[in-house]
Amino acid sequence: MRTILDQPLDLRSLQSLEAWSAPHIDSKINDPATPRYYLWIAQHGYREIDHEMGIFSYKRSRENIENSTFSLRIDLKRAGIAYHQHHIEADITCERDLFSTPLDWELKSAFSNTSDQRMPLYTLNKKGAYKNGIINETVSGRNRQYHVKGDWLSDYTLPASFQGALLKASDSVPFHYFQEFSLLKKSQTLRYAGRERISLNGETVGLLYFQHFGAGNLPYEYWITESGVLLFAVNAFNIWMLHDAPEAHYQNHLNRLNNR
Amino acid sequence: MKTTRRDFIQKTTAGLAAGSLYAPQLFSIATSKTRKKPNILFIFTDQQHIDTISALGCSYLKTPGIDEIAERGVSFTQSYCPSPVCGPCRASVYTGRMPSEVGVTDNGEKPIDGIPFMGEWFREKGGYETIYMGKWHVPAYVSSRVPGFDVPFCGHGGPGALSDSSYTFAAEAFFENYSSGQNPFLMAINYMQPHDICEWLRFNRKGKRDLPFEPIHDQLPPLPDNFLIPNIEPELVKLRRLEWEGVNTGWSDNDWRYYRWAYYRHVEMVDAEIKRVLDALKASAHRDNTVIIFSSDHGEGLGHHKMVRKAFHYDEASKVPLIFSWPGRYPEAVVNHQDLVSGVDIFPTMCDIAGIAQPSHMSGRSLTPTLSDGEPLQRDFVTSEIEENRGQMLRTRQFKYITYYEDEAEQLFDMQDDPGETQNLATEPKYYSILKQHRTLFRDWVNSLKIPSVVKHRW
Repeated sequence: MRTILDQPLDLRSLQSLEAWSAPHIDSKINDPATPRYYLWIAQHGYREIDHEMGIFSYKRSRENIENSTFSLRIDLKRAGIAYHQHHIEADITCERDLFSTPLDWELKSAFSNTSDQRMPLYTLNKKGAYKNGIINETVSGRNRQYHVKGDWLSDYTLPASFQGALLKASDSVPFHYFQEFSLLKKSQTLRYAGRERISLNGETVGLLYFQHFGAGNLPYEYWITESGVLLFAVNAFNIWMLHDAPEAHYQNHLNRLNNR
Repeated sequence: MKTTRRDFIQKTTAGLAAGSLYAPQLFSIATSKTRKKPNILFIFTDQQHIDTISALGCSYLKTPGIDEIAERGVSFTQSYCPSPVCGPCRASVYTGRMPSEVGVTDNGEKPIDGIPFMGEWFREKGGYETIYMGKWHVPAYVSSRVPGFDVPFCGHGGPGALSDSSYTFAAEAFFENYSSGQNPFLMAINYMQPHDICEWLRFNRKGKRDLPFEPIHDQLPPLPDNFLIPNIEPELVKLRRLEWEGVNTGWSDNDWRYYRWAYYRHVEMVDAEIKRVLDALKASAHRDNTVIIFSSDHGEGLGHHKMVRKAFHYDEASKVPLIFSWPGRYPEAVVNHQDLVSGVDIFPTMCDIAGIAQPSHMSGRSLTPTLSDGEPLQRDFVTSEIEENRGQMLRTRQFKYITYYEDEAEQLFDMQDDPGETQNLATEPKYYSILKQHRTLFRDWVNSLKIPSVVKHRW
């Protein structure tokens, strides 16, 4: 039984649905950290029992923090029916600037079949680097260039950007969005849209609220703790939620899909 | 007078921009019997309104991916789906037969046995490597088992915003890793977007006093010209309008405009995936030997006639984009306004492209003569059907006729004088002979269908 929610998802509606359990938040800006997320969706409404949560699992490790750079390791799993899975891993070196600008990266995309075996025909490795306004990408020895005027970031590095100087932003910040290190969506805007307060583990916590607009996207909304941790990223009816142990949700969802 | 390639490009590009008529006499394309069978990349979106391509004149969005296909191919503007419902249309396009002939007239129905599907046919008769990604819905929404196709990733059964990118990753990898010396491939990418607008509607059914996201307020597109409801409309169509989200909950004009704005963003999202696929194809060894076919299963109401979604026969739902791109063989940057074409034509046209015979019965026909040589198609009408009382549509060059199973009301529109379908002429005495003519055409068409006895003939 699914209930049509009849209103866009936001912080309040999530809390009222009790769709999320608050994680422990102990990381600070500039500390190594590995926040984990799962993806929660409300397709065809909200189910009181066995609602769809954990359909993706996302782990983002921030490490090797040095004076001018730091490393990000991305581990993203997408559950498919019949035990198909799509696995994306990326190692990124970011500059410690306003946008955590990616300086170089390696991305691996792989699929596993119904027997949980990798399918080499569908495995892709991409390498990239950015310098002086040019993104250079290499796929199987072939090069591609993207010219970028102005600031840019990728969806994998955007959460890291919140932990930098973006928190100080009080208005709109223009940027280009290199989605999945594969597609450059230009002329995006990140807009600071105010503060909200929620109850988190018995404490009232202040959250900063950002909105992201631009061609090729429905608006994204981000809620960030004052210490720079991304709690929720909402895009239409899909929500990334910070969680202490999302892997169990992911495995449950995978099992549920494959029992259909 | 000889037409140079430069003249041709200038003429066709101007034609694309201005939406000019196809000029078939300009083209004479040489063929080569020794050429290797071409690869075929079939990109099939879900629920895409025909007027959502910036290169073809839509100014409310940017679609650099689809634009690229249009600029290198032939785009049809009189292109209809065989059914404005997902499952029946997909069963039809992938068999080349009308939905009732496949036994799938509504979502969730299983096709009858013994009808060859596209993947099976191309694998068996053409030696093609066949790859399928994305939505299936015949009957399972997504499935790892699509007849005749390998399915590297079928998705999680959820929305396109999450799955479409995985299909793109798989396609990019395949182009990189599959050797051009191997068998030709047929890759069908069935993106789920912009169908996610259905989910968007579920979250926005209630009208808003204040629209969210203030920065977009000055970007909202206007209401469509045919926003109002036609003068005479069958009860079943009115019910269709009321059973879905939107008008029944008292949207304001701004709510409607916000919905239109959101829909265009959904189209841009799938276009971005298409651009990625095209870029990967161009960077691969397959770039010079791959035909690209682009279409959608059905359209989207988009506020025309105060309709959302699909499953009705106004053009917003029953027309779909259809583009064929085969540089060097088909003309480029051409818009064909004259020929009535249908989703059932895709399979037989693919057979021609691959140089393989068609299955013994097909409802559609190959578009090769008009694509290659600009010959008019000589077709009197196309049809589209939905199960039982949601109506059957027959479109002739000038008129559209719609009839309903459980409602005596009929609809007749003059598509030349009233392309927005605002004046139902079915009850006007002066159109009675035209109405009768269309009834006869419809009845003859029904009688011509090869509907297996196991399929309940419902209209």
